[in-house]
Amino acid sequence: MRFDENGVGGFFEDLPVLVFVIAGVSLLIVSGLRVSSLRGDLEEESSLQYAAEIFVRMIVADAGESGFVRPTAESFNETRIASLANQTIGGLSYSVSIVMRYPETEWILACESAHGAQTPLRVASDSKFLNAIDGNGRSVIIEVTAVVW
Amino acid sequence: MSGSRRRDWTGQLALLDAIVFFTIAMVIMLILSSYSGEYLVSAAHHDTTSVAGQDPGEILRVVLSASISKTVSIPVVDEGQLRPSVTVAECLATELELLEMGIDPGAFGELNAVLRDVVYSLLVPGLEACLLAYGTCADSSVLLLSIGELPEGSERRDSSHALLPSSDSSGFLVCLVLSPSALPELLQVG
Repeated sequence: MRFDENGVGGFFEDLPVLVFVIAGVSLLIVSGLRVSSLRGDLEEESSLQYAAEIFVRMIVADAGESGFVRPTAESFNETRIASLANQTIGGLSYSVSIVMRYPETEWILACESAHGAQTPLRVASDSKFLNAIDGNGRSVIIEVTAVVW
Repeated sequence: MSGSRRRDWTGQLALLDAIVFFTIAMVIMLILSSYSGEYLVSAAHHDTTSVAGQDPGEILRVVLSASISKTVSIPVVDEGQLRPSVTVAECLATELELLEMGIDPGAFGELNAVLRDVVYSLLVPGLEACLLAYGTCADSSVLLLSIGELPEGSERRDSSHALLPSSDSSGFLVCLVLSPSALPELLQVG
């Protein structure tokens, strides 16, 4: 075994090098993690938004809106919406509100999933207007809004 | 402790290598940060392709198919009034044909107020709408009707149009323009 000052000198000379290397590696790791987590968040939000859009479209289509047939306010019911939710958004929680917007503002239906009391981490929503026939034979405007989390 | 201390440039070269590595790491971090910033901006633009998330095409479609739901007096038509079950599209076509014939626009004040109510009942607060209608005669179009005003200097506008049939073969072009009003912070909250 050799005893001299070379090892001590070498150790203190390498410390600045080590600091730069550790700082550089840390920067790479932190920025890589940040970008990947950001992408993950955005993709999750995007898929949630897509689920909300599909859910609203399905509710509107199920009510019977097409170029020739107009739904009525009675076309919407809670059981059908729960069934559509099972088919389209699976285990996600939802809240659906259906409101007449013209000629007067009037609640038609509001419903939510059975497990809707959970605190949402991410929320997406979508709404769609459609025409429906009221009891007087007039074509009214209804808005279907779904919030999904 | 009689060891001889060695002096050479090896340590300096190692430090230089580390600084170069650190600089490259910094550059990579900046590139990744700017990439993530652009990604966020593009995602935000994707969410707001239409003004305040409202699609003028969808609004125009349901407005034209909706009934006016009120009895509206128009002194210049034969019956003197329009029934509540008449749709907005039918009202507009009637009004535009009469305007094209040179009838005084003042006769349609009540109808225009109802049409404005129908459009504004669907808008979120902070949005202004303007309904424009053009006669498409021959190879030119003439502005026949304008309901509502858009705020001046607004940079963001979104529009959609539809063709209304008329008794002759020309037809009318109806255009709905949406724009944020003077309080854009209302839209940001939404």
